Amino acid sequence: MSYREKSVWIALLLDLGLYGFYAWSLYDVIQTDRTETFEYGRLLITLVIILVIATIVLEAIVAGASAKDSAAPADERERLIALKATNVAYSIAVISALTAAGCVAYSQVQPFYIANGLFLAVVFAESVRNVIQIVRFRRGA
Amino acid sequence: MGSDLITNDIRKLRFERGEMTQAELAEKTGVTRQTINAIEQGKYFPSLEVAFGIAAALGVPLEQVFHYKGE
Repeated sequence: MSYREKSVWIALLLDLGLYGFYAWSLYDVIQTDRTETFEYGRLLITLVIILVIATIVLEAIVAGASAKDSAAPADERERLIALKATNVAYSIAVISALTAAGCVAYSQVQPFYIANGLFLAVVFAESVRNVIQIVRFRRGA
Repeated sequence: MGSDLITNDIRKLRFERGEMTQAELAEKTGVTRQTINAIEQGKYFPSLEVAFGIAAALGVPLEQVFHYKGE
């Protein structure tokens, strides 16, 4: 497995783990009808800090294990794989943003749901980007 | 990113040159070993720059490495 693929795996697993925890926490908030009082910003910031630290630590471990690969820039195939995955993720993010904008303009959806819906879309787009990259790395192109 | 019309003899040429490994060829060409493997298996087709680099690393002209089967 190449260094770039390991990096993508780290990003995907951390995203799914931490944002999965966030989604699970929000589900509890919705079930107990605390959407207008719950300070989700605080939880989110905490999780983002954990994500950044965990990413740095894991990347350092992986880079240390494959120092030569990590020092070299991505080659053309790796850049092409990243570009194709980003194109799909960008489309998902744009569609989600427009949907959220539509919700704001034409409905009475609470800001809690719009903000978290948008955030979920960003995380989903990022996860799709990582999955596409892993699939392409595994398939060879 | 693949095509049935273009084939290559990288594997054969590598073994004709003292069983050069994919990693060695990758280092000489400036790409990863995984990229050389993908090219060798016809799953990825490189840019002209990398294709010429592979040919140079193997010490043969480009047309001895890649073959076009169309027309």
